[in-house]
Amino acid sequence: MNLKRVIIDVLIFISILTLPWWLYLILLISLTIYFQFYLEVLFFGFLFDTLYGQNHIGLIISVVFLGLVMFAKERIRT
Amino acid sequence: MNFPLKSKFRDGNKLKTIFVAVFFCLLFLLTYFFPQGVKNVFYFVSRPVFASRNFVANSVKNKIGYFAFKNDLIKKNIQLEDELTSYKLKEIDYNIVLKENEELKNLMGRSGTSNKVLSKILSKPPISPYDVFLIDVGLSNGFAKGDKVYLSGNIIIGTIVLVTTKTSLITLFSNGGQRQEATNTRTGTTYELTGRGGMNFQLEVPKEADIILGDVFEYPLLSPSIIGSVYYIDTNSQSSFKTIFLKIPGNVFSSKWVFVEKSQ
Repeated sequence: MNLKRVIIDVLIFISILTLPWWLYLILLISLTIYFQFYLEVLFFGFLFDTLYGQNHIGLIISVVFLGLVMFAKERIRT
Repeated sequence: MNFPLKSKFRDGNKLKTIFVAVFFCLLFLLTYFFPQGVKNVFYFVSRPVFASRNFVANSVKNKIGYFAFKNDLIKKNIQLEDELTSYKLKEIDYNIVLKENEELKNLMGRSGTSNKVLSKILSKPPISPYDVFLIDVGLSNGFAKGDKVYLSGNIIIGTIVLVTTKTSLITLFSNGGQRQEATNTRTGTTYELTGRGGMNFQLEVPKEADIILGDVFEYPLLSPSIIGSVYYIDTNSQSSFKTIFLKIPGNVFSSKWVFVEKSQ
């Protein structure tokens, strides 16, 4: 597994516990777009719901966003 | 004809889509069947990080004050501001207690004992979204869902909505869209306040309603518990209604501690 990606994941995990929500939201959006297939965003959505939420809004938003990014990337020729 | 590139992408994407769907279902089922277990695990892992964050934040704050220009003045200013805030809260508490004392004397025989416990805030806005707080007491301390949370002796701010072994999640009454009944202490009329986020409430009433600037609204309990006070009234000459804006007294977001009242 890519070490760089693991380090980034750990940093994102810590940022969810320490940084303002809008900051880690921007980071997660950027990483989902940057990486080819950033499945971890689902876990972070899940973590967000578990820590601060009372429903599954974080998980649902992350799966919808990841789906949209995958759909867009499939149609963009590089 | 040359299509293989596109076909390859689609095959890969199908696999990824299945992967996403499976992972999503797995996480969803995990929270559905073991909500308490999952929360306990995450809070257990997060507690050291929350504690370290608070420690680092305090240290950095102190260091910045030390190196700052005219740091003595700054320190003194901060100290005086803290004292002033504390006195303001005490003044509100004092007035409430005085009024409560009079009311209790009139009632004769009714007593309202409270069982409040001090609790440290682990996470608060803007780290957590909405008007949500995470505190360091839970089931092991005898707290349960629905227990009331106070900023100081008589300023009520919200209730516990989720509780795990050692942590609890609080939602403020000012959480966006949340509705809460409150009584105007001056007139005794009860209204339904709507949370607007960031310690603010909104209330729409007919123009004739007797609400003035500075009016205090309290939670419907035997012991007076302030929810908020009126800081702005928006009156439009073309409308038959006026919008009242209220705010929780004191600054919840700069507080490090809250009081949680155990259910009787």
